[in-house]
Amino acid sequence: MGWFGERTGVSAASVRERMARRLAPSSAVPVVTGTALVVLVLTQAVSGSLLAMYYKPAWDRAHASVESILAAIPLGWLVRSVHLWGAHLILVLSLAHLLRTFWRGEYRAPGDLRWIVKVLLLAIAAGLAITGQVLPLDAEGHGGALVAGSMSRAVGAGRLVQGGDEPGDFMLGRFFAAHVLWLPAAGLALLAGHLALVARRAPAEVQAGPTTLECVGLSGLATLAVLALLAVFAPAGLGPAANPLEFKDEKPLWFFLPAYQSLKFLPPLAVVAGGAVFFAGALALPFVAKRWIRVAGAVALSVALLLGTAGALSNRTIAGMHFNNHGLPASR
Amino acid sequence: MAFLLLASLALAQVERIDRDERCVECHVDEADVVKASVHGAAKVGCVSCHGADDVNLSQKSGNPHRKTSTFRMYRRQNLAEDCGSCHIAELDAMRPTGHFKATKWGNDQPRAMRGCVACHAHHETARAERGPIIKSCQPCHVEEPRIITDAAEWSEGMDALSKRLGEAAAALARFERRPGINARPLKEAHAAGNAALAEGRIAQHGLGFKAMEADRSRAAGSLDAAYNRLTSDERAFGRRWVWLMPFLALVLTSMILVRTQSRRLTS
Repeated sequence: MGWFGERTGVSAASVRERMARRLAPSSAVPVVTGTALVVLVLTQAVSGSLLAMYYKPAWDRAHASVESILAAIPLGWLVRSVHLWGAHLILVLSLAHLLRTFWRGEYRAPGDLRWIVKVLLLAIAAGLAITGQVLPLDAEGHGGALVAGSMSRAVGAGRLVQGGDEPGDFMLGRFFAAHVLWLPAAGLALLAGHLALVARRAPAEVQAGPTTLECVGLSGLATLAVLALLAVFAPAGLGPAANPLEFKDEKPLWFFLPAYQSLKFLPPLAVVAGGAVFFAGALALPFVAKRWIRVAGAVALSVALLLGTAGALSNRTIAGMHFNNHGLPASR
Repeated sequence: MAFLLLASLALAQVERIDRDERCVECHVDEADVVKASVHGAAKVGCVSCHGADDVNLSQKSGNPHRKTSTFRMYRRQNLAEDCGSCHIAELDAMRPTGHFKATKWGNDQPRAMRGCVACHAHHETARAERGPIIKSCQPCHVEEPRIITDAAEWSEGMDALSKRLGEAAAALARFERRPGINARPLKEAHAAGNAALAEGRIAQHGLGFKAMEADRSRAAGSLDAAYNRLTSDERAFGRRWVWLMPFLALVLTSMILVRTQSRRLTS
């Protein structure tokens, strides 16, 4: 026991023993995806902190500041590309991580608390994606801000989300604070809790299979390599600055497409309520009788996919549903 | 006699012509020329410049125009009142020059002294062409070849600036908001260059070529510098994979280390 081990109970020998343990494929997969997610979260924290040094959360300066990050700040384009690709990868991997847990029924006790933490983490990732997409205030971000403002007004949270009667400086400030402080703080706390829960559960030792060190080390390194390749060879660009007098439909991140397409048919209140039911259902999953789960899950997913497909096929627009052609809320 | 005069007046079919559509009934060729010109594109027609007039439509020979007070046939003497009523800045630039004063001298002056239309053919309202202008300087400035050379150099510089601005606009369309390539200096230089070109096009009517040259060459110089910077940015961005190679090599080495370490742990 060294100095550190005496104070923490974590000795080099115990770490070595844990790392040398061979894992069965069923235990290795979550270790691989989990490690990749932790590495991605860390790169997001680093790249996000670098971006925050140059980004200006003001309605009339945000786009220009992102433009200068992209072009004038040395390697700014690389940092922003890493941040954007990292966001996509986190959403893909955490969805896969969660669906695997669902598929294998691991949301039941004793995994129920881990499941709840995972659902909350996915919700936080979604919140980070929504707020992050608005920040550059290009046409896409501006459209996102208007839709978010409209949805929040519909559920009576207009002033809370917008900080005023309509999207503007205060809304951007709220989104920025949520994106760099509130959500990451909550997310990192939950992630630490999740990792503590996972660390307590020692997987069964098997004779053949990859060691824990291999799963963790190779997955983390491969994630870094993939992220670097994507960021360098498919660098993220930036849309033109939003024209406040012309509101056009701008698609959100793929993760939100079902909700976005539903807005073409449903009032914002219904879409928010639908999302809330989905989220509450996922949280309550461990406590619901088993036979209802698959039915409810299948119905919820089918409704989301049906609305999404119908929206994608129809020629309706959100602009037509909720805004006049200057991008101002239709009710004004 | 009085009766005959009254009868001829009654028979004469005099009409007030105050719309372009009516002018065009007779002036077909001029109409085609104007329609193809910048004035045509800007919907500036016959009446805008020439005003309205009474015309005897029954008159078969001679000039049927009555030349009333509202009618203006262009003479260089009313340059200020006519072209200058829209092209105020050009006129102001030209006012201090000898060329402007000469327009008041009489009809026996050489071509270059005959007001706006001397260089900008009147119905075509074409942009003045360098060749004919320079040629028309010669009769008066035969003793002062420097004036002619200055004017020629100035026009060549304007053409070069205009060409560079076109190239810069094409580059901006390609590179604006592209990652890793800073198009903002070129955007600013392009705006400044455009302003210099527009100002130069007005100021050249004042003929102070030497004084204007400094402004224009400064604009052209910063445009060149910004353009060169953009292309070097583009080259550097094209080689970005070079930066990636050491990183990937490091990752690969670390992966090999993980494998060997794992073997050591399990052995």
